[in-house]
Amino acid sequence: MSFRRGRGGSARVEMGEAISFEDVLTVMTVLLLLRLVFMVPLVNLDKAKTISARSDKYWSSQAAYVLNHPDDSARAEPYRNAFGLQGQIAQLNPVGEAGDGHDKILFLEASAPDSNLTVLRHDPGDGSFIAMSVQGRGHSVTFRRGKLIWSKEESEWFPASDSVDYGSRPESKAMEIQFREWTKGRRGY
Amino acid sequence: MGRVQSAKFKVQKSILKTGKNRKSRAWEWRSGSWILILHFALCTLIFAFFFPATASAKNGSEPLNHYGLTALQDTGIGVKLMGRFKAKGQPVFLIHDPNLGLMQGDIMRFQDKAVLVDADVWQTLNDEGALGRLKVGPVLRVQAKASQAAWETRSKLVTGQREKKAYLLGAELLKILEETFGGIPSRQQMTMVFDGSNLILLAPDEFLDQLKYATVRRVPPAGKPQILTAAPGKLFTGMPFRWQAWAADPAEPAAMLRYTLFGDLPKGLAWDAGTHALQGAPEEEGQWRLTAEARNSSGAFDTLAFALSVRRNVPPGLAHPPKPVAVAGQMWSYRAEAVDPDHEGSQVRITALRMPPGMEFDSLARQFQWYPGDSLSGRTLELALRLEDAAGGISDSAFPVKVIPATDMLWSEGIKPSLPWDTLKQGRTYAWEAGASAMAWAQQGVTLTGVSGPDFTEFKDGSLRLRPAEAGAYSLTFTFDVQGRKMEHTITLPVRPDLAPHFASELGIWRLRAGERAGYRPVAVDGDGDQVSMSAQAADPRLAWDGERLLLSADLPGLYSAHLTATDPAGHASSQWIAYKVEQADRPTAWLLENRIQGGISTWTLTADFGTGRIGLFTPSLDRVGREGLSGARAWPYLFIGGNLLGRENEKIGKRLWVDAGLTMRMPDSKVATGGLMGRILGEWTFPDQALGKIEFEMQGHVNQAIVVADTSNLHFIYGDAILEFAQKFSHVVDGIIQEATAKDNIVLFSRLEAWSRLGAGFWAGPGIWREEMPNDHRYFQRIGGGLRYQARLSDAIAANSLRAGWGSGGAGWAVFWTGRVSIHSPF
Repeated sequence: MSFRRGRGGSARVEMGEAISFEDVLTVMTVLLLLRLVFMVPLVNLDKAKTISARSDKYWSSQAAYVLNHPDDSARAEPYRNAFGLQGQIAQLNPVGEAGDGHDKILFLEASAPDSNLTVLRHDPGDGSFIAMSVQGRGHSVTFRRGKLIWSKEESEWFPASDSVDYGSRPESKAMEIQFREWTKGRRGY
Repeated sequence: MGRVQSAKFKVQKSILKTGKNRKSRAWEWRSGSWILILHFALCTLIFAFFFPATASAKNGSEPLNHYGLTALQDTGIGVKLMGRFKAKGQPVFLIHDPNLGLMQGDIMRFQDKAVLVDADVWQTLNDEGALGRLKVGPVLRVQAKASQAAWETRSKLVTGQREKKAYLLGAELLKILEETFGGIPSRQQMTMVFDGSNLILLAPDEFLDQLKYATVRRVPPAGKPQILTAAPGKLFTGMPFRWQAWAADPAEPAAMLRYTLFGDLPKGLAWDAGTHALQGAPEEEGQWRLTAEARNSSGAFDTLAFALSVRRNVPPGLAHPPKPVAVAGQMWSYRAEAVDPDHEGSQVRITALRMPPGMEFDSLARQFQWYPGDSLSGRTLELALRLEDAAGGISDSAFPVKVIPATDMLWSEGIKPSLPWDTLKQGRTYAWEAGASAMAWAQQGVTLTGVSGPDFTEFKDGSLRLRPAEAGAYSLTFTFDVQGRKMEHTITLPVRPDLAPHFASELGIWRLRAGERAGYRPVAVDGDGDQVSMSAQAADPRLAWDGERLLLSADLPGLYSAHLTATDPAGHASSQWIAYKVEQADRPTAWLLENRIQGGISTWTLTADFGTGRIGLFTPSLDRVGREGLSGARAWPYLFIGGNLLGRENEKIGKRLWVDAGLTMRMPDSKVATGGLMGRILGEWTFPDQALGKIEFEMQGHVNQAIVVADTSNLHFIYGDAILEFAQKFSHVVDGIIQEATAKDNIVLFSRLEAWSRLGAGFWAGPGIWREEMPNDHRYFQRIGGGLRYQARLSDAIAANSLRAGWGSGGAGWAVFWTGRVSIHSPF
């Protein structure tokens, strides 16, 4: 391979067929350029275009509240098997005040150490329930609703005829709004 | 926090629907499908054992989950997701709990990649509207404690027919487990999921741990309970003991059975009716006759009568003690084997309480090994062992081991001559001096009187010399005089075969041309490293052996072979044949000058013959070369090329078939070219015995004026006087060409077929047939006659002259013609 291309011809003659330092630099520059051109676009080519999770500070406050209050284990126990709440801190509270028509409806709030939240609205009157599951990171919310049936022999509630939605159903939206208003009214957040 | 073992098993729903009457109560198909259910239950347990990671939930604090599979209802959203995640194919979603929907930690699977659903991915799916368009799988999930009563109760509480049926199925399944396994862990949760075409059973690992399935058999309905537990085995005083009675009644849950134990119990044991277990630690020996009873709610019962035998546990012992003597520098080993009347020997635990320094104990193999050093010679050390059985029986024992020097080996231990070799080699001589061993033996009154063995075995003056002749085993019998008593000891040593050396070299170039020199240095190696001597025998002195190499200097073709022999000191030899093939050297280019005088024509040919190809000059008339002919053109020799179609190899054996073709060109005018053609075929076939001679055949001909080529491309530009001028000049040329073409000797063809026989002294003679053909002269003469040839060789030059005389009819008459040839390097 000849690298003589008419540049500095006399010098080349003196160097004979040897490759000059200039030629080495030229080849290296070309190789680096090729590498940049063809390799750089490959980096991060595979990265997915996702939408960042929208955190809601409200749920952080809610998790903090539950985790910082004592476990109402005795009253929450009948719900644990039905909603997988074993080992979680849970509190059970009536939605309304005595005599306001909502005093029979209950909110069960439970949180795992990783701030995953479960909020259950249970109406023992008609047996209906809506449970919100809120993930600790990103605060993604899913809803589960159906009927809760009391098993006397086992002394626990168990779900039946339940289904799932992601907040699209009016009942689910209403339940979340009701819970937020309830905490605001009771706890100030 | 333990892990959850999800007992996960899938069966086709269609299989479950094979009951006789699907609309009737679920338990009705039980009788026809109990084998299926048993199979289901067994597989469930097997899966629970071997696939503990099929669910990722944690034990206790997490629900029992399984992965469900769902897809998007809207493929348009799927396309959007494919773009966002740069993936191919519509996504499917692996959801760990279909009851909770898609959550973080689930998996979105495309055709070419999988994406873990984290917060960002979940948000993306939500914003793209994917979550709301997930297909809702027909999942039915039921869960309760593993108690038949709980499942039956729930089946009555739920309103959905499918849930009702699922709970009933669970109750029946639990009942089958009870009947088959003698009980179920009723405090554990069990979940059944009907997901698409799969039936999935989930249970925590405690379910499996507590499941009683030691007695795997189906208890047929007998109208009464059946005790499944076997009678208890041996009891030992002071040892904790627990035995639990188990019974099954296909008609009733196990929890409903009541157990009773009748009979007096030894002191220390008590019956617990709640757990129907006999437990405690018996304190007195003896036998007690007991009866266990299991009774169901209707009063039907089953009994098991047995004798409870309690005795003192006998501690284990050793099957044999260790050797009391160890020899310094030699391995001492002992394998401890325990015996115990109450337990398997393998169940006895052996521990070393004390060991001499350097002794090693392999507890797994129960093997002691020891190389006592010389410094321990004369000392007595102690090995103390403890044996302990499963019932706590312990026995300690200590054994003294005396270390003696190697020279003090007692003959009672067996006089074992210690030879310095463990393996012999065939053909090698070995020598051994009894020396120190003999002295040590002498101190004990032992004298080595002789050694005998096969092949060459010599024992003289306390010195043993031997040389095994054959491979295999070499038995030496040592004869001792032990305090006046003769004693023999035989030692058998393996003898490795002494392999013959083998040649590691091969002849490289074996094909040579005459005159070339060649040499070969053979290399032979001995696998045992012995010295190898080499010899060679060659039939031809031109292939000489100088002690190290074969040297070939052959000027003549032929096969030169030699037999090489490599020998080791034991006389084992191997040989190698080598052969050189010396071929005739390539001859240099042959030059031939030939002259033929026949029919008044004298042709000359000069040829350079390369062996296969040929090139040369030919002229039918030497005096015309360079002169202008009738057409005005100068004549020049023909240039011809040709070849020997029989090839070079045949040339060496006197066979040839030359074929030549040539052309000559003349230019009478700048626009006219003429030319001549020549050809020649010459064949020669020499008899294998050259004395007989050979046959020659030849056809040689030429056409002096054979072709005319004119350039007429510019004729249309010629007009006026130029035409006349051109016509005059061109007609002169054409006239000359025609005259040449019609000359009598323009076309000539000579043919001959001759047989030549060698007369000796360079003379050859033989008959022949000749033809002369000159069409322009109307001569077609054929003659028959004889010829005489004289061929003289001077080094590489050959001169040959042939004179033929013959007669032919039809006007041919008598004629003589002559050919002469001078050649250099020619094979003919």
